[in-house]
Amino acid sequence: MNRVLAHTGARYPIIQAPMGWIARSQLALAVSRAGGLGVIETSSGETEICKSEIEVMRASGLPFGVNLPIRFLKDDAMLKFVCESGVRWVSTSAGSPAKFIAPLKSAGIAVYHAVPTLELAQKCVDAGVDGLVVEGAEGGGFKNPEEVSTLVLLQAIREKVDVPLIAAGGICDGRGMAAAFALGAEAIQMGTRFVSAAESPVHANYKNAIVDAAATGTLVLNQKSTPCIRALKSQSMLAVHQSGLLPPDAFKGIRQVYFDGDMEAAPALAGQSAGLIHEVKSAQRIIEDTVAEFFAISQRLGALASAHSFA
Amino acid sequence: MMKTMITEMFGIEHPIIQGGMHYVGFAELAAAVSNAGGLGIITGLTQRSPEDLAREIRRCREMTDKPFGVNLTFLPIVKTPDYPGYIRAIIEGGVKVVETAGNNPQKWLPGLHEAGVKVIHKCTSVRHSLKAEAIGCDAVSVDGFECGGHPGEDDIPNFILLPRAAETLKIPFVASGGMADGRSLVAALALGAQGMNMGTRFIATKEAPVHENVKQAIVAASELDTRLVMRPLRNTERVLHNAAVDRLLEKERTLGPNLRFEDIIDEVAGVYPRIMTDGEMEAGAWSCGMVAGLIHDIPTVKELIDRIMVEANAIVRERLAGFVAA
Repeated sequence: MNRVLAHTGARYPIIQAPMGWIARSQLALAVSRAGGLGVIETSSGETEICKSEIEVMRASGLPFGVNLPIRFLKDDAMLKFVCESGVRWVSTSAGSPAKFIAPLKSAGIAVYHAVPTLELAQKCVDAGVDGLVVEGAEGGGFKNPEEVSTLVLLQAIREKVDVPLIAAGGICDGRGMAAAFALGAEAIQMGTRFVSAAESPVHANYKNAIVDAAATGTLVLNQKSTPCIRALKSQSMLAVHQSGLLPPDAFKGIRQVYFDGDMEAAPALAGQSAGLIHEVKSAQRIIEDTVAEFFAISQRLGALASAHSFA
Repeated sequence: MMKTMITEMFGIEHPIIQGGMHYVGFAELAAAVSNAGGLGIITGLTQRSPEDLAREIRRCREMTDKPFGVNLTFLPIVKTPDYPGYIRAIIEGGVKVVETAGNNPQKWLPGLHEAGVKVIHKCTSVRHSLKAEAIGCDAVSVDGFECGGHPGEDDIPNFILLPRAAETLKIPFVASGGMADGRSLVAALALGAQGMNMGTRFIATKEAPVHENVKQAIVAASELDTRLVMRPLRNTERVLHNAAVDRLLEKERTLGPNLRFEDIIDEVAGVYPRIMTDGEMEAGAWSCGMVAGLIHDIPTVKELIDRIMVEANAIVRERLAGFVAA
């Protein structure tokens, strides 16, 4: 039995990443309706809106998840709300999940923490998480400056822990899903792929910038300071890259990027998988195509192996 | 065995190639890999002259009757090696596979192809892979950002680079970088490669003719223990962290854009024999992949390749096929 499916109640082990402002019910409902797991963000800090988005998800009766970015939560209010929200699966990120695990678990919620290193993975397992979201260096958004790619990180963690792993970073289709499963993952999480989904609430310019981006179309910024991020190349981000430092008010214009389509106003967070994304698709097609491709590859490789014995 | 376009092209049993490595790719290792059903590679330029290479090829031939290859790296260096001589040694030695690396190998292709030699070129980007295809290379070894040695300047890991290569190339390619076991082989195949190339993993084998200290250093390393050096010179190299690498990185920091190759010559020039042969682990910077974090033992080459194929088979039959059935 796939443990991520058991924990989430989703039909397919495909999780939508919790992008701030973007991971709201318009996108999450489309993902959950298509059999994946739609997830609601709370990292935007827009507490009341996020709460009502969670209500919308609960009212749908579909499986869904919530993300709690520990460092960004002002108090326990959101944790309490989530514990009573009827959600079955929560991902925690940005900070130690230790204090969150007990209340969430006693509310019957499976807790997965997002980790960029083996060391943190082991700490989280010791603290009692139900699973991990393993975030390779390819991913977009807030990063650990010590870059270990999904290919190596997933295996390094798989060798040392037994909890279910959700692979994230560099995955946007059935090829990545099959590779992640070969490396020991039980599910995948996709961010950039869903930012560019038809139901994603962002401006068309953002979606088109992802579709147009080459594999070399992102930059790792602010690597020697915090927060280290991966974002799409733009004139303003190339300047940040040259200077090496992200200005303190860099995210001030984030809504202009997301909703007005001004791609120079702030970092347009995206992962290297932008180089593999060639069209805007509905969440349903993204999930159906991913699953179909995963099946096709599994069958191709299965035939490759079963036709020839290794004896 | 596992049949792919690469096993068919090179006449080998398993889709596993041992990449050319300076002061590692001697006949002993190449023969062990080929005997175990993979493709062993002798590193051409580790041999000081074409005559030495011819002798190394003969030594390898005495140890295996399976196909093996020679790596030939084309470097932009002042004192150009006798490339025509090396190519002659390869052709006259009856070697049927050449792994080229570095500069465009176009001018050597007609001669090699005429002699029935297949050429696989190492590339760190889709752009270079397309170029290799256009000039007539038979296959490409696609080096992701994880790889030891020179990963290029684009920093694209294999989860992205391999599918991009598969979308673009018509000729077959193997995945290089981050490859160590059956899991990585299946991942590479899933992402569109026709096999895998391993470097660092083969150094930590019983037959690798290097000092025991080198093997132990790889076993001891974690996935966080490699560093990128020479990035300011746009000649980035992934190496294992040690005191010499710290010195080198400090020079890069202090000299900034004024850094010249001469400034770091102590840490990079002529260090391979001291490290690989004498085991002086702090002598300088030496290539090592991120995959060192996944290497925990020193098996024989045959044990390694056998267990990779058993594991790969189990993954595709049980894990992936099981999912299809469910």
